[in-house]
Formats: sequence, C-alpha cells, structure tokens
Amino acid sequence: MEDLDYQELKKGGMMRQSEKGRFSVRLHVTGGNLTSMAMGIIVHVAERFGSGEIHLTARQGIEIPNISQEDLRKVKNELSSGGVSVGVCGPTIRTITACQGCRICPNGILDAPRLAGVIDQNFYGKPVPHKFKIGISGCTNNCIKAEENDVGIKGAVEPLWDEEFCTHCGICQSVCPVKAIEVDQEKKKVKIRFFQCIYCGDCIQSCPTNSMKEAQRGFLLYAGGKFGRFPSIGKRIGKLFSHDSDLIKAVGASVEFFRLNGKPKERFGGALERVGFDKFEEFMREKLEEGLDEKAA
Amino acid sequence: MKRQLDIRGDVCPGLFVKVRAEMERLRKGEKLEVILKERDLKDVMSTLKIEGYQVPHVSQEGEDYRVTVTK
Ligand code: SF4
Ligand code: SF4
Ligand code: SF4
Repeated sequence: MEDLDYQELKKGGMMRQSEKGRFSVRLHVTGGNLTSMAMGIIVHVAERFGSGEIHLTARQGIEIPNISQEDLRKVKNELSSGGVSVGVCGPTIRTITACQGCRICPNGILDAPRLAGVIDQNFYGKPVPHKFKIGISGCTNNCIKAEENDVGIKGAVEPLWDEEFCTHCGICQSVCPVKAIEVDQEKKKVKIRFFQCIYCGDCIQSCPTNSMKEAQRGFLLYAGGKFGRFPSIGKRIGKLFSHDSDLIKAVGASVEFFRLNGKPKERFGGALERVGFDKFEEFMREKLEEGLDEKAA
Repeated sequence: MKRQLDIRGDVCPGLFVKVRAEMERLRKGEKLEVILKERDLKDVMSTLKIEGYQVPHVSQEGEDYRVTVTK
C-alpha cells in the first residue's frame, strides 16, 4: 500500500501540504476551460475526499486541497471517471493558459483555447531542464500576459491599405495606439510604418469603408519570460508567424532549444541570456524552414 | 431631419447601451449622427461594423468625432 502511494506521488501533481499526510491534488486544466461534467466530478471529489474547498491557482489551474495520503489513488480514479486527470509538477511543460479567444471575445484573433488544446496534446508534462510555462492571448490586448511565460503567444493581424474606397477620413490614424499610420488628406495616401506596428488590428476593425484589410493573420511569439523571485519580460522572437501550422513548430523549436542548451534550475530566459537570443532566432528560423514537426519525445 | 446622439460624457458599457437603443429606433434610410470622443472611436466603430451598420460620413473637430450612421 505504501509502495503504491509512492508510485502515485512520483508521477507528480500531488502537492505536499504544510500539514503532514495531506496533499493538495493539482488537476490538468487546459486553456482555462473545463466542461460542466468535469466541474461536477471536481466538486464531488472535493466534498467526498477533501474539505469541500477548491483552489484556483495563479495560472488557471485547479487544486483540491486537504486530501489524505491514503485516498490519493481513489481520488485519481474518481477524477478520471469524469475525464479529469491529475496535473504535473517539477521540470516539465506546465499548464497551457489561454484567454477566451475569438470564439467568445469580440477582440479575439486566435481561438486561444483551441490552440492551447493542440499545444497541450503535443507538449504537456513533457520533460525539460526546468519548469516551462506557455500562455496564449487571443489578441494583442494580451489578457493572458504572454511576456511572463517561457513561451508566450499573442494573436496578431497585419494591416494592408487598399486605396480604392478609402475616404481619407483619418479614423485609422486616430485609433492606432502607436501612431504608426499617417493619412495624407491632400495626396490621398495612407502610410503604415511597419517598424512601429504592433499588429493589433484596431485600424482594420475601425475603418468604415473596409479599406484597411487583413494582409495576414497569425501570432507573435515571446520567449524567456518568467515571474517568481526575479521576474523578467519575454522578448519578441521573429515577426509575424503565419497562422496555426507554424505554432506547433515554433513551440517545438523553443522546447528543443531549451533541451539542447538549458541547465537544471535555469529557466528558458536564463538559457537564452547565456546562449544568446540571436542564436535562438537563428535556430527558430532553421526549424521553421526545415518543416520540422516536433513530437517531443 | 438628422437625429443626433452625443455620447461624449458617457463611458463603457453605458455608452453602448445608448448607441444600440438609438440604432434600434432608426428606420431604414434614416441617419443618426453620433458625437464621440477619440478615446471611444475604436470601440464604437468596430461595434457598428460588427453589427452591420453603414458609416457614410465621418468628420473630426479637435478631440471630437462626428460619425454618421445608417442602417
Ligand atoms: S487577449 Fe484579446 S481575445 Fe483574449 S480575452 Fe483579451 S481582449 Fe479578448
Ligand atoms: S479609416 Fe479607412 S477610410 Fe478612413 S482613412 Fe483609414 S483606410 Fe481610409
Ligand atoms: S495594426 Fe494596430 S498598430 Fe498596426 S497600424 Fe493598425 S492600428 Fe496601428
């Protein structure tokens, strides 16, 4: 019996509590979404084996505290009967967080929870030199705080001006949050300064004549962010990646680079600082061109 | 006669409640002029676009915008 519990504990997700013999059971949640059925079984387990308390963690996770060691196996079985599995801890790829994305949020560009699901299937719980967090914001409003993750993603859209029906009304210039647009009413020209553009799409959403069009939709990738004792902000890697298919490749390249270059107890950002962000950008470019389809081992 | 709606003193979400209520009362072919602050321009314009209204005319006076809307 002791042995079995030990096996369970080693797999992770059972967090030792301050109080001896009690555990807080961490659950596998993806993109901040749970079905009502999953929620039901979680409530049931918390009432039957815990203290009726359910804790929402800082990164969209759920923990059920006050579980006795001898119930861990039963808890795991009950949970899995409702399609809920136990989470991970240690040097692994952690919870993939996501906002509601474009299916729910009118600002959304990416279907963030769906992409979180795809990334989760490919990478969740996989071993890496140190814990590795991934978060996805559906647009550049960035509700999920992409830059505080080891790899953060933001939905983005590149504008393209089409002069045919443009009335030079100036709305796009007024709404641009970084003043990257200049409307010349006399020459009847609209100029977008792409080195300033943050790919938010506000100009496209606001143009009354649909003259600001979408050149392409995709995502921006930020690498090396973290919080904890010494927070650092992730840096943007590359420009705009085209939609979806490149996402798995880009995340795969990040994980692979970390495995090749990282040290235990050093986060991805630390490895990038040490080895060089430029080296990583180069690696990323090569991997995307190679058409690598990383299925993390 | 052109109807007017001044939302310069309003904030979200009350602002949208007002705009929607006014728009619903609008008959086909009728025009509504919305006067708003630049800070609300993006949200108002994108909402009008999503809900399928037409914006045939826009003019700017300093910080204020006058946006003509039709159904
Ligand atoms: S990041 Fe964008 S899409 Fe996601 S919730 Fe925030 S505003 Fe909506
Ligand atoms: S908002 Fe549209 S119509 Fe107005 S100036 Fe910009 S591109 Fe032209
Ligand atoms: S996408 Fe955003 S930042 Fe880029 S030009 Fe349009 S409004 Fe400005």
